[in-house]
Amino acid sequence: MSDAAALTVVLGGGGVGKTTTSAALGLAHARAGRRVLVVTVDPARRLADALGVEIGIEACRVEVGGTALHARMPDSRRSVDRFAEWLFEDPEALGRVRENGMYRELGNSLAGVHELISIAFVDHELGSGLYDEVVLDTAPSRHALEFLDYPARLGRMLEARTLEWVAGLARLAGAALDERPGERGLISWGKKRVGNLVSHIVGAQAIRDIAALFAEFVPVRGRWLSLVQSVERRMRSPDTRYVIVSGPSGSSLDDAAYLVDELRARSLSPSEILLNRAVDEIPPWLEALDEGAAPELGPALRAYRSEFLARALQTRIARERLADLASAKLPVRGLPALRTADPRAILEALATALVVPV
Amino acid sequence: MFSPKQQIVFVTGKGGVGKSTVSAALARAEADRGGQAQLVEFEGMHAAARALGSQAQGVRTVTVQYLDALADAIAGMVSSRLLARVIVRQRALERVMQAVPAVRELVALERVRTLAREMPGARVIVDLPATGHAVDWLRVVAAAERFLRTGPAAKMCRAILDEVLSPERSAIVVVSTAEPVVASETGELCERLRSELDRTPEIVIVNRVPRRPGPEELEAAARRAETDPRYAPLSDLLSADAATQSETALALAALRGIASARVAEVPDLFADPEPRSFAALVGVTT
Repeated sequence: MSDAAALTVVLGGGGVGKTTTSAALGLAHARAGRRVLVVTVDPARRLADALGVEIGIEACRVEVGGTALHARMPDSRRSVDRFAEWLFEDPEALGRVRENGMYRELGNSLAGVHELISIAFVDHELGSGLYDEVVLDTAPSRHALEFLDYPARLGRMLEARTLEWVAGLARLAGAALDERPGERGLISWGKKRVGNLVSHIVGAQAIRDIAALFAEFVPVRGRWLSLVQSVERRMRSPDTRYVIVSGPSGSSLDDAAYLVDELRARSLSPSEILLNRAVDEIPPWLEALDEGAAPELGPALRAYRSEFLARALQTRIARERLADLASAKLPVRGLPALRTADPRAILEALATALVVPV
Repeated sequence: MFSPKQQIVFVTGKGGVGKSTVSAALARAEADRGGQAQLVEFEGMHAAARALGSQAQGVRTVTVQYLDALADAIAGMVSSRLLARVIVRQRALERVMQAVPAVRELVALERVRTLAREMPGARVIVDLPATGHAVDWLRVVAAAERFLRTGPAAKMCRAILDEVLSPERSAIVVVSTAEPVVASETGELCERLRSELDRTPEIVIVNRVPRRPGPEELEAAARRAETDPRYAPLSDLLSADAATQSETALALAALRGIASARVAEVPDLFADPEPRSFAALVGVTT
């Protein structure tokens, strides 16, 4: 465990700059001489855009201002297939899974599939010895929490009773909903009645497909559960930090508050909140300029002044709300609002603001 | 902007672009011109209802709870609410549901279908969850229908496809901001809508468009900065904003090509001292 990489999970609502902040955190660690991997579970291309390069499903080396780090992002369908290849070592089982109607049609739409795959990848990378620091950029807030819930959910799904239940449904569907000998009494009648209804609703073939897919998981249950358990250990490890990113807007503050609560409900605590795009004051140069001296620039000066004034007010309200939220000694760090069309310049400036001790 | 038959409007876009505000504004615009609207969001979301405010008359706000929607969907198929409740309470079923893909999306869209039927005269504005997976949300029904093939659930999927997802019945509004990165992601979203769903958004709303520095303003600032260094930061800020906007303009031009949809711009309220009414800006009233 001691040579495993430290994990930073970056959480936050949509549009707060989570991915850019994750990349900047990674860059800050890399500048401090650590070997870094930044992983995004968001299938959007923001990480590639933030780093200004093409990055793919494999970890690839990226150089930013002379500092190297590694980055990867998932391709959803290919990731699902690769994950299946990893899970089902037996080629015949893998073949059956690939032919399964549910896997074919819906495997890619599985709620939490990106999270699942990122768990698998991240766990692998953390133990690989290739990195000192792994930064995980999550999907916007509520999906991020699904990612935290997945280990327990998968464990429950593969409990013997759930599997038996599904297998029972498949038997019912296969046996044309016949009475099975040996099952008597009100409970078995009730179970059967519900089972019949579910088979009726979903259709016999679909039930058989679902049951067949579940059945394939039984032999690999140990493999899956050990992965899930090691991920859960990792999430609860003292080396794992949870960083929440917020913007100054009301809805992103709501998301941050929600995330703090949800983390605490899982006995996890965020290590800090980053307030991105903070404007703490009207820039002094803007205050100092005299409208009368350059009348042709008057409209621009007035527009920027009113804009910065509004943003500063919004930032002050945000800081007050975050201070209330962070009652339990949770540090809040402001990150500057940067106005440039160059994503790399933003990345480098944020990494400088996020400087970590060597 | 929408045809009268398009009773349902899906509002989508990247996280943080202002989808909920746009959804609320669309619902409000509908009510303001004497119509009725239902503003729909999903479990855990309340931003659209909040953006709408408590004063809006003629708008019904609905938050779809997935487990309730599941019970309703099952009740519609077994024609017994009591039985549906019994089924939904099965713990094993609940666990399977959590792991089986698409169930949430399906039952949520089924709820949208019944809402539309309940109030045929009211526009249903759906604020889709803030994720990069909006296309998956809409695509999942066809995939589920192919998987299920027969039975009441497959029939439900077909009803959703006909009554909710067909272009005759629903419109798609894509929300973006004027940041180049967001605009280019919006382009990708439109491309996926086209290639995976064969849909073109009815309108792309570009939110928070900042003030545009004019060329003479840029020149004037640069001239001042040459002789007086105090103007250098102003000149830099104007150039940075101009550069950002020309990149955004490129991304939006590409977007127009991909989406072949109307693109409406809404100014950044911080930068625009005289905010005009949203409805007028996007042309909802015409």
